[in-house]
Amino acid sequence: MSTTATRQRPARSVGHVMGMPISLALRGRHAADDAARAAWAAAMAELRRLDAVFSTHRADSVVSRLGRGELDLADCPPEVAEVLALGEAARRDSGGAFDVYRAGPDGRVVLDPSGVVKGWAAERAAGPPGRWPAPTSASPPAATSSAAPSTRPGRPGWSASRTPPTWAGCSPRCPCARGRWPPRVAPTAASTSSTRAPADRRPRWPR
Amino acid sequence: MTVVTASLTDADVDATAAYAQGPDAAAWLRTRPGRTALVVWSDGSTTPVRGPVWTARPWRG
Repeated sequence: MSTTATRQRPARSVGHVMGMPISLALRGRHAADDAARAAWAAAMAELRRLDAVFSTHRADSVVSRLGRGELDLADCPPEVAEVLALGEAARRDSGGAFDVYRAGPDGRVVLDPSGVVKGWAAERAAGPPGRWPAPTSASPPAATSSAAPSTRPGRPGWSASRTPPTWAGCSPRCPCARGRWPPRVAPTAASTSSTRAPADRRPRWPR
Repeated sequence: MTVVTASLTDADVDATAAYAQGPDAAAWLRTRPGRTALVVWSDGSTTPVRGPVWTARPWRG
């Protein structure tokens, strides 16, 4: 049995939006062609659009205006209600430990759905399976990941990734390496919340 | 606090919610269906967590 197939190094793209780096790793015949670049541009454009809706750092964002009472939820894009519903479900499930409404510096209640938005937006930008160029070769299409270390010491750090099942592998014996795609494995996502590690203990950017 | 599940939205929200619960994080994650998690405590010790198996459509035999 031939084991000459080698692991392809992924083609990586990195962008910056929502105060965090977003990276994309693609493998396969179309990992670095025009279709892949177009898909990456579409994903980043989607994230920038969502940032304009959800940013709590922009006074003119939809969420900032909603929080100040200048807008009704009915006047907001439908994504806002979706995110608030996710936040409410998390508040209920966690007994109130997670809440998109928090006390601001002046003691008033502030709407801050960032805890929902970043992971949700990354998943949304990763999009349906068809967003990335379909492999005509025997390789899986895409992996996306994002990481957002907090810039404020003592604040929770954050990183999240969404990968197709063959992110780590695609060994020569993987079903997709033999031209069968997709493999019958559920997609997996991982997210880490933590305090920010000291600079000398921070993980290096994957290469 | 690392949470693994099928949806990134769910993984991210649960990691944040568990983190916010401090010492109760592992116990809470154990109640979350379909989640696998690893809690690294501030003293460096770890607790692996496997939530209940996720049955999207409960089987009614």
